[in-house]
Amino acid sequence: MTSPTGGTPPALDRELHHPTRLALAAYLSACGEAEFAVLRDYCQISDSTLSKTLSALEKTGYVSIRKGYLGKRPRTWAALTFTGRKALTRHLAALEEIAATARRAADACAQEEQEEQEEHREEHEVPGA
Amino acid sequence: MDSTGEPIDAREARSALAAACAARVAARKAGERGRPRGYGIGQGLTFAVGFIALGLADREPRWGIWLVGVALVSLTGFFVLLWLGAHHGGVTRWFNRGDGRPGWRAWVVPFIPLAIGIAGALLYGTTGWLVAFGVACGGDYILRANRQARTS
Repeated sequence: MTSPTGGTPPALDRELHHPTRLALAAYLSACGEAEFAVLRDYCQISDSTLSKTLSALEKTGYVSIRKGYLGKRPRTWAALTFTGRKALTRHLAALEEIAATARRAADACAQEEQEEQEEHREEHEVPGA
Repeated sequence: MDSTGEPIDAREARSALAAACAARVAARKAGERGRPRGYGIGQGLTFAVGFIALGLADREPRWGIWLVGVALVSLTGFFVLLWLGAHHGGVTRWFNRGDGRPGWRAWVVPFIPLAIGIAGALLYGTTGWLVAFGVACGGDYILRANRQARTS
């Protein structure tokens, strides 16, 4: 597969392939940082699942975790790193490329079918004329 | 088959894109959620008091130490309120205007307090610059807080 610009096509990122990871990364890409509870409520997953997912993304360097206090309450904040932002951009570009390729193929297929139908119709119309 | 080793078709790609788009919209909305007006008013007042005190410290050497102390406390309060306001609601904003403002306004508005400060500097020197800049910036914070409270 080549990109329309002729360069190397963007590849899907294994670390962002899972829907929860993608949703987390996309959410974090549109904000500076977000609190653990906000992310858990948005993704509708358990604390332990979110904790594991964030740890996995932190290991890859896509997410940075900050622990602190707001008053006396402990809080955990997550933010997408610069590497994570670049990886997400590449991953989304790869997804768009897949969707666009399928759309082009479907359009080409529909056009071929239409041409075939027209040819077929002409063949049937000529003897009667 | 893709580089992740798992097959992905166009339908899955489209739904993943839609999910990512929805997540971004949700994060933006959460970041723009109205913050209590008190944060903006507090930020404006502490900023203005801090700069006015710094300006007066230059003009009134007799009270210099006290005024510098007041300025430090006020400006520390300003930064604390800025941090608390940004983190209110659990999501901090990312760098996007996102409010439909034209581009020129986003650039010109921050220069207005600077221009007022320069005018103050030309008339009254350093004291004029500090006082005018503090009042203009503080006023800007308060006006913005009131506007956001009205629109939300």
